[in-house]
Amino acid sequence: MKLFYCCYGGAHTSVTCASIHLGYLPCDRVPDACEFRKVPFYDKMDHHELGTPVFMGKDELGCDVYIIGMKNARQLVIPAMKSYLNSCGIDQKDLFLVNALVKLHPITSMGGVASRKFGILVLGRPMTIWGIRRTYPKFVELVSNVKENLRCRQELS
Amino acid sequence: MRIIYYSYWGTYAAYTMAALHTGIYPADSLPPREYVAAQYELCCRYGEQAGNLIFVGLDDQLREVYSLGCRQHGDMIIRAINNINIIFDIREPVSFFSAEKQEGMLPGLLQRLRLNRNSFTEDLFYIWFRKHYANCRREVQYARESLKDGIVL
Repeated sequence: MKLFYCCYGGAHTSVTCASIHLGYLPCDRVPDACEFRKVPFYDKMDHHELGTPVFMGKDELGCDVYIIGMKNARQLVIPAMKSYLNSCGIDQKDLFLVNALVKLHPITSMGGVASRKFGILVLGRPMTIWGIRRTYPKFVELVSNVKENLRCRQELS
Repeated sequence: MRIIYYSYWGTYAAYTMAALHTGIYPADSLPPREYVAAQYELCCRYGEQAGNLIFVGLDDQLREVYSLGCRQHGDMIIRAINNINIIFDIREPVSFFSAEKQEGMLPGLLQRLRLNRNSFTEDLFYIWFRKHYANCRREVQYARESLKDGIVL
């Protein structure tokens, strides 16, 4: 099973979800800013890499976890991936796509633009971390729902 | 090998080039009017659709040829599909050819007019088709040459 956390830029929300999923970030408390800085690929995805799935790790259920940034073209990229797999005769039950764009604090989006679009890391990165820490429980909830869903799928199969 | 012709719209230049590649459209002349009418029908029905591969046919080397509408996100979709190929360990290579330069402005207008489907829009489509057919044919020739022996040169 391949699990893809999708977001706009593939740099913040999808990385946070994948990190919670894989245990790089805690699910029982809000992590410190320095813990975010240690997360692989956090605030790293460049514009020319959008659309490229990045492997984050393997979870306890044996699922490969990826992150992918799709800008505002989710409705194009996802059908393209699925129809390509379909044309290759690959069962789509092996592909699990999760929208990691939870309702964010506006500061997160502003920080993301500052950091990724204008390259002002000193300002943008702390803003994204501040915003994500504010909405962290939503990420934990999303990931726990995903894990529950994955467990059900595995039991069914 | 899979060959994907992509453009902003999936049913205009991308489809024309894919049809030329597979031999559905003749390489030496314009196709019969009913073939063009069939493509116009395809545009009316599925022109707005983007992101879904449209299977056009097999070429003389039995390679699968598709057309794909990508809007302005062609690069991102190419990266996604190429990486999906690696992630799912799909051994068959995939080649992309852009049809964006052959498309022009008219398909955008036709898509806006699609609700007023009539002989005027069909004639506009036919004018677009005649105007761009030679360019599409030339680009397909380049694409086929670059695919000699199944290797993208």
